[in-house]
Amino acid sequence: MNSNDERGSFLPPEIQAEAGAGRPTAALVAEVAAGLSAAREAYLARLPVAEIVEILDRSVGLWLEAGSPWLDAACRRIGATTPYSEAMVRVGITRLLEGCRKDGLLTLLEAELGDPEVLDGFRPRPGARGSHRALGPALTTHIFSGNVPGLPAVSLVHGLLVKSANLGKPAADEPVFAALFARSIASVDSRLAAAVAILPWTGGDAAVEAAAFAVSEAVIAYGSDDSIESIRSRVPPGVRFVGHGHRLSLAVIGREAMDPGRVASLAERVAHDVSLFDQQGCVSPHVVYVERGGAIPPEAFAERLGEAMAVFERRMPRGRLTTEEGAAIRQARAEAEFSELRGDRDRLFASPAGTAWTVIYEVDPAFVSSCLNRVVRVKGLADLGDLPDLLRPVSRHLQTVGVALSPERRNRLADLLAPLGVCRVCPVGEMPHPPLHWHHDGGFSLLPLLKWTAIEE
Amino acid sequence: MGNVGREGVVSGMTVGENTADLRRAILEVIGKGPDQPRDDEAFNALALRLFAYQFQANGPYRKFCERRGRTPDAVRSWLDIPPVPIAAFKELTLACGPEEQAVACFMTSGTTNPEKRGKHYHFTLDVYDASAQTFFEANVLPDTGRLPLLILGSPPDLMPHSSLSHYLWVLSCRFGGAGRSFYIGKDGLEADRLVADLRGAEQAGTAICVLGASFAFVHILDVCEGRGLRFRLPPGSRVMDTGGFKGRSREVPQEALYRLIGEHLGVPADHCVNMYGMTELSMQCYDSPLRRRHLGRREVRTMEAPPWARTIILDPETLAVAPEGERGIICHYDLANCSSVVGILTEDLGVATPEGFQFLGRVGGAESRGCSVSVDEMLAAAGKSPA
Repeated sequence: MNSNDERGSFLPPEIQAEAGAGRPTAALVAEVAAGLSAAREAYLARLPVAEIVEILDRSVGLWLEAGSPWLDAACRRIGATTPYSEAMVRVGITRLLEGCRKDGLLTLLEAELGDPEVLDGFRPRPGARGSHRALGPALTTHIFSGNVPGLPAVSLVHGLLVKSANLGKPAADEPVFAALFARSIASVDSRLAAAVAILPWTGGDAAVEAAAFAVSEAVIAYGSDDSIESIRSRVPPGVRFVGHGHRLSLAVIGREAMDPGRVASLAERVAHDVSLFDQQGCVSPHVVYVERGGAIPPEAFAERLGEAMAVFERRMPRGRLTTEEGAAIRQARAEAEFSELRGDRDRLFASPAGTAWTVIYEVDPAFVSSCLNRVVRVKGLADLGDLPDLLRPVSRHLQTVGVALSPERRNRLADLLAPLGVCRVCPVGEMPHPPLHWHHDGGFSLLPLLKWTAIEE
Repeated sequence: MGNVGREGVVSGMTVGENTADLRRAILEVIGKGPDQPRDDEAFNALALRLFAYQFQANGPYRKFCERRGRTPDAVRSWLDIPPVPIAAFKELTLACGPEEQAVACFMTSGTTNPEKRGKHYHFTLDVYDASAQTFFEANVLPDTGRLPLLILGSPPDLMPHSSLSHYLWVLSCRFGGAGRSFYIGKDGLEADRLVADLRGAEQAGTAICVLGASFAFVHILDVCEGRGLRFRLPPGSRVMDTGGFKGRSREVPQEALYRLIGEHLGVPADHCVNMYGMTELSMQCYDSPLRRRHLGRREVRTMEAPPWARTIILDPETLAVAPEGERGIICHYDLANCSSVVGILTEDLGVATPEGFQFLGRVGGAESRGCSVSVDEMLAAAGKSPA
């Protein structure tokens, strides 16, 4: 590791020396962008996509070897600089990068493009006349968020697969991973990595971002709705924009899944979904709907979920909280406790000391978003058909629904929820681990970056 | 409010002799005044007596304490008396007596959810009134007995469930002998009448005290701005504001509010007092440069509780007292809260100072770190204003 890592930057050596420790300026961004474009034209743009896949697979492999120094360094430093516990960072990054191996990369390419070689030259397209070629942006600017450790890898992989040069801005609260990941690519193929730069500027710095956006053909941003909207408003017309803002996820457990023999494992899977990333992920459930009429009533399941959350907490402790976050949990617990004392049949299950985990069983079935950091509500449901009405008020933000349902009922539920904007229905236990080829927020990942050219016979 | 002017009258309801003794003891402490020497032992003893009484008289509170293993037998220090989160006042009746015997029921504004307003029942207002008068005088009028009071608030007949209205009414009766008037009527702020009275005071050269809700000050300052009005209120004039904005006017930081008051009313910042009070409490805290100057203390902005109360800052993770200088949840122990519970856990954030505490804002501003979304952000997204 070197001093660049400490700052979370990854730049060509000559620029790094020049940039020093000062704050990035618009001029520096322009210079970096020019270097990236040159590096792309000299190498990445000419590289067959199959070779890019190989290089990325080898880079990702470095992180997944036993005792990987890359993973160790990332976990240690992300554990030190973010609120997350090191153990949780390790699981998060590992699961995420496992999805970025060769088979995951090829699946993504095939799922979105059919024939990945349209990125290399003109190819026939099944069902379309003529031959077609897809071209990625010369340069993509990425604005990362810090809530899901390792997520910048996915965004950089998208850019590199479409042969784009990439300028990334790490999140202020997680400045570590992106630069380390770029460096691991450089250790496999420095010419490819020369088309990647990670530069930590202050989010929202209008001059620097204007300079970056002006030379980019695409901008990908992760963050709150407000920051996404602010970035979108500053991206020049004609530049492709992909924004990932606020999202809400939930879990649904059918009565058929409430088998007394398997409830412990079910609770464990739901606890995993709630607890990983301390619920800060867009994929993290806020509410668990439990259908009534199963062998275990919703209230009893809430208690079992609490037990599983406690076990998870021992393995992967919840991160440090700000005063505001901690106070919000105390407030949520107080409301639940008094509702319970009033005799409303609501129940509070919570870590005895501290705020590590909280399960609130609430009779009112309305969807309530959580104050996060492992606070989840369990609600009974008379019928799956009630869900669309319950979720309609938050439909603008809906994303992942984790389910424990028979395949037929899962499919029926998916039919009901798709029109509300739910983009992913997955088994509980898998919510934090979408495959690389998922429809993130309902769209594709590579296609929005591409421009196509066709030759008509 | 019939209790004003009936000092010493303790309503002898069915709550028993014990209640009367307790109230007398609390009134005695208040009677020793705002500058009495700090007596932690006496505070502890009375707090424990009050706790034992409330534990016995207040069923839901008893359950709350029992769940925590904090019963009068087990508690030796007031710091171990379980403070009740204010959310409880919305869910439960936290009263040491039957509701129908209450002489007042103060309710929270219900900004977040109008269906759920916190209710604070009082079975006597003698203690409340004595506490309010004693500490108001010490903080707002330490150098002068009475001043005409121009009140940016509603009288209690318009807002019978507002503790602020009652408080302002009590003060107006006691200290507004030289004239008092409420300027928020049935149809809102009576700006024209207020402007005329401000001009009258300016011309007469008599110092006045303008007091009331912070948002009402913003409205009147906007009126001044809009009409190009500037007042130079006579020397010795002062203002006291309270209560934040809660979506009822634009948000104005405290310093900016005092700057505007200086510009438009001619009252300097060292004559501007901020009061911190809650429906769930029976005492008020003040940030008062007037009191500090009167006592020859250092001039820093800090909130101070009266001698019959203690304010502490709790670490949200452990609910233990946070070290001085560290942010946490504000928690009050108020001996004047004899009708409900002595300890209150607020939804406010603060930090302890050598003299008291600083209020930093409401809980709920916690932003998620990425693309998940929390309650208040949802409210904001839906265009509603979180309290």
